Amino acid sequence: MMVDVRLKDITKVFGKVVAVRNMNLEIKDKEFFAILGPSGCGKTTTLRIIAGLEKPTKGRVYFDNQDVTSLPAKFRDVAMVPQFYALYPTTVYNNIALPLRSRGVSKEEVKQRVREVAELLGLTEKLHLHIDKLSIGDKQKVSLARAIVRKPKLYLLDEPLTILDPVTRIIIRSELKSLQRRIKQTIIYVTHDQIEAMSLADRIAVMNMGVIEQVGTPYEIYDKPSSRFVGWFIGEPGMNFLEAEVDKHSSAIKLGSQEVLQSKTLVSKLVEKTNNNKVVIGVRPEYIYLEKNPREAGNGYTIVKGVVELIEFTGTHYIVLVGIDGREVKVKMNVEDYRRLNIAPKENVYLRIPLDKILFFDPVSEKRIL
Amino acid sequence: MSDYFLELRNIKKRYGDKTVLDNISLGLRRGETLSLLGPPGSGKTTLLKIIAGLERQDSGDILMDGKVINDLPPYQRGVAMVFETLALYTHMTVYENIASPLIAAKLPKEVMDKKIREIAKFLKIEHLLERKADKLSGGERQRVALARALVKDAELYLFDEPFINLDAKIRSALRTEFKKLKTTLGKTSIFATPDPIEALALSDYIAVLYNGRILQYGTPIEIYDKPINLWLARYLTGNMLNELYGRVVSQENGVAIELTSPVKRKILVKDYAPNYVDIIKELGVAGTQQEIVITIKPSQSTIESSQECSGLEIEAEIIGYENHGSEILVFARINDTVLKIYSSRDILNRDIIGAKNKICLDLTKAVIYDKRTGRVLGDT
Amino acid sequence: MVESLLLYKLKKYLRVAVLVFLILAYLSPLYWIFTTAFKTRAEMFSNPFYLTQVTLENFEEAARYGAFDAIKNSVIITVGGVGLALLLSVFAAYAFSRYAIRGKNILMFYILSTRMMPPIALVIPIFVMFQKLGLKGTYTGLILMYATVSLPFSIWMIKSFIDDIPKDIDQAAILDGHSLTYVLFKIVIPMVLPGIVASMVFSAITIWNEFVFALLLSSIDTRPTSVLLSSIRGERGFNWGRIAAIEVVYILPIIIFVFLVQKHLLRGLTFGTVRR
Repeated sequence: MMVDVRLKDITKVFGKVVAVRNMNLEIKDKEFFAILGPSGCGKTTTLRIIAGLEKPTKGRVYFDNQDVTSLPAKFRDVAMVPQFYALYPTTVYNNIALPLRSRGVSKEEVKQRVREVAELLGLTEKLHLHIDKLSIGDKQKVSLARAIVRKPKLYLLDEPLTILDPVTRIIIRSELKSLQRRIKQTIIYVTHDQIEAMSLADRIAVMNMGVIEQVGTPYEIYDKPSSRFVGWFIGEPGMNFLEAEVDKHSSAIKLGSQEVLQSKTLVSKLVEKTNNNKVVIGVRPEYIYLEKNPREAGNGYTIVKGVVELIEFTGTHYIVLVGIDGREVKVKMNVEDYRRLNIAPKENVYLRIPLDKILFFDPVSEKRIL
Repeated sequence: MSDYFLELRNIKKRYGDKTVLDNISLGLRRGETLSLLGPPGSGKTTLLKIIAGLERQDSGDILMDGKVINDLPPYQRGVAMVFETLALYTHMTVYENIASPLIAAKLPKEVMDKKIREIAKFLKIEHLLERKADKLSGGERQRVALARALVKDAELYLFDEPFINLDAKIRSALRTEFKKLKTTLGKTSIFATPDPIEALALSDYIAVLYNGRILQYGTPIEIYDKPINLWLARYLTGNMLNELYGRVVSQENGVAIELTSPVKRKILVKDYAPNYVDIIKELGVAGTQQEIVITIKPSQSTIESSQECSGLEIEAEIIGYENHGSEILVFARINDTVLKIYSSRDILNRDIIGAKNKICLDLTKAVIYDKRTGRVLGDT
Repeated sequence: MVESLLLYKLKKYLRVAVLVFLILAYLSPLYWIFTTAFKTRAEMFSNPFYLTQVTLENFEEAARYGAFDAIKNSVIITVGGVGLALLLSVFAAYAFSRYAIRGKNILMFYILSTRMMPPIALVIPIFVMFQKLGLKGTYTGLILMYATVSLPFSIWMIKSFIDDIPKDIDQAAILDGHSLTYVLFKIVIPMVLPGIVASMVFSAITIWNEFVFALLLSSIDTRPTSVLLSSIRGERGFNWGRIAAIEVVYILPIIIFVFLVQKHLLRGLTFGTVRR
């Protein structure tokens, strides 16, 4: 069975609140697709529209080019795994078998399919246990098994792992990923956790305030965010943004009084894309190196001077907040590099930034321009 | 006389027959930030409320500037607090919420207005001032609660898990902002949190609370580098600790560790962790077959096959990974143990799931615990 | 598949039809009372469904029978009873919710259990008591009686609303530097307003409709509408037009009242339940 899902010009309004605005999205067959965004961004509404649990105010939903916009949920042949499992107080076997029995599948087939699914999820040993005897992780697996056993066209998962503790979450996440490779079905996965989306998905749609900001593979989104929001939301901490001036005469880009780089071609491109002499520089905290003494920038790098404002120790890393003429940059360093550097607040430091890691954003539209 | 601004001496508190706080003694100087780090139910909130005067300790003293303040009512202690539930007055506007402590202090209207607008500007909630407090997002509510506490001219600020219900992303952004705020204002504060990263990032000192007792007290670095027991070591890494089990044996050529899990191998301490030779010798455990747990944090191991391994090399099957962008946290299984190792993102250039890979654990960075007592070795 | 989709839609329409029928069934007596009140005596039986000619003669006659005095009495008793009950129950509810009172659960159960007593069992001792105290037939007596009847439920309901507000809120206000009076009146009461309104509506409806106590404890001058209605009987059987007119006047205030507070009432009714 195959299915690709297409949303065309979808808008969903609840009272005065626009939950989803003019959304166009294509999810390919057999794809592990994540919809990622902060709470209240409209991701769950989108999922519910695909499931048929909400009717869009405007726009159409297509499964394999067939318009299903007004088809009720139970006729769409999709399975939804919710954030909190809803299981019946009986054995694991009965819980998994239930969706088949209610569809009038023969007893023999039920038996066979439940066993297959249990095998797939590593639940075989636990089939005859009562649901109360299971760990939270296993319960969520049963919830998943109940979806899989129906062999639906499409799986919709709404933050199914949030209630699990971190270690179980990672283990089940890995299992989910390898499961998808085996069952070869389309999965749409909604989450607010960027690491989860980056770890699981083939492609990610990043949503904010009812709008899709970007669709792409994890590293397309990480390396080339299409907007400031995406740059900030992906990565921990998110991307740094610095307002800079474009000087047409000297073909330079400046941060206050400091020249960041000089390039005729770059500046002319930037001027072409913004009719403004201001531009926002974006650079990820993990790509910046700190140095105590000024050195030659060297090929492919630029050096900017700043003052250490704040140092945060997160255990695995140090995050150093550096002030540059009223702007702030976060630098993420590993513990050894930081301890070797030996800096303290209010000290002068030099930021060494690789030129190929610098992105440019429009200060008004906040979209990436280069 | 100590130079402590706030001092707790042998604070005890019971609810019914449950001991919530057991002999808590702590000191805090002016301008410092102390974190109370501990899992839910470890007594953090009760301790904060006792300091604020909202609850009364069964025994023990609270001192401010050297004077016992046990009998001082809450509003005379010069304390402001952000509650775990935030405790916003939902029927009021943001403005009225922030005004509350100023109204109680009977400040003139103009002074009040100026203060409210200043703090609102500082916390970037100026545009919300006229909004009702129940019409705010999680992050906004958090800022309002912060504003209501900070607008008060207090000597001591108490924060009870103020970021707990927020998305991870907003949480880390607020954390940095909060630290900046704290640094700018230079106020004395106590910050209760179950999140090790928050405690490490925000505080000058950390007191780890466990079952109503202080398990360990020290600077973030002291605590992170050498957690006093195995439970804390696991807790600090969010259960991402790599653990090797073994026992200490003596050989002609020196002290050795006979590993039992996840691999069976005998290693000479002087070859793999020379810094531990003396500690193990001094403890006199060499030859006693004492069982130990060797712990290594994910960031202290490597998985790149190209590099020469000077530590302990183990071959394991990669079962999954977590993509942190520039870094990948790889999970590799060997004999029912899952090892966690940070790697560069290049590792994803190939299909790694199911692949066997060499993992190199740097034992010189390890922290070793006594398996029976769970306590760290070499702690005097 | 196509067939079952058809069935699905059919079921959906059927559900809507049943709902519409139920709504009509509930509204029809009201419709009948309202139209009858405005009908002439001639039209009442000849044309039971429609209203062609509007007349106020039924209302004039109702006024002659003292309907408006009875309404006035109902209003005085209800407002007084609800007011007194609310005042007492807010204090009691706050104390029950926030303080460690010895034997709290038993006390709460005792308070609520008075509510389970059938009024008819209480009426004789109360009648005797009121007569001895000179309260029989007075507004004060009726107000006291109804406040007593409303209190248990009011306390219980408002307490459960206050329980829903975290104690942190009170403590935050105390740390801000406010007095307990301020905390109660400016913080806690406004926050449980939906609950107070809901309990107010319940008490008001109970008192407005009450009959047994009213019949025995009121006098001709203080009798509320419920008592008046039962005593109206025409010379030649029932005069439906007059009864309908009194009923309209009797129902209207409570409908208007509920309509005015409906925003709070809806929140009040769902407030405690949704979050649990």
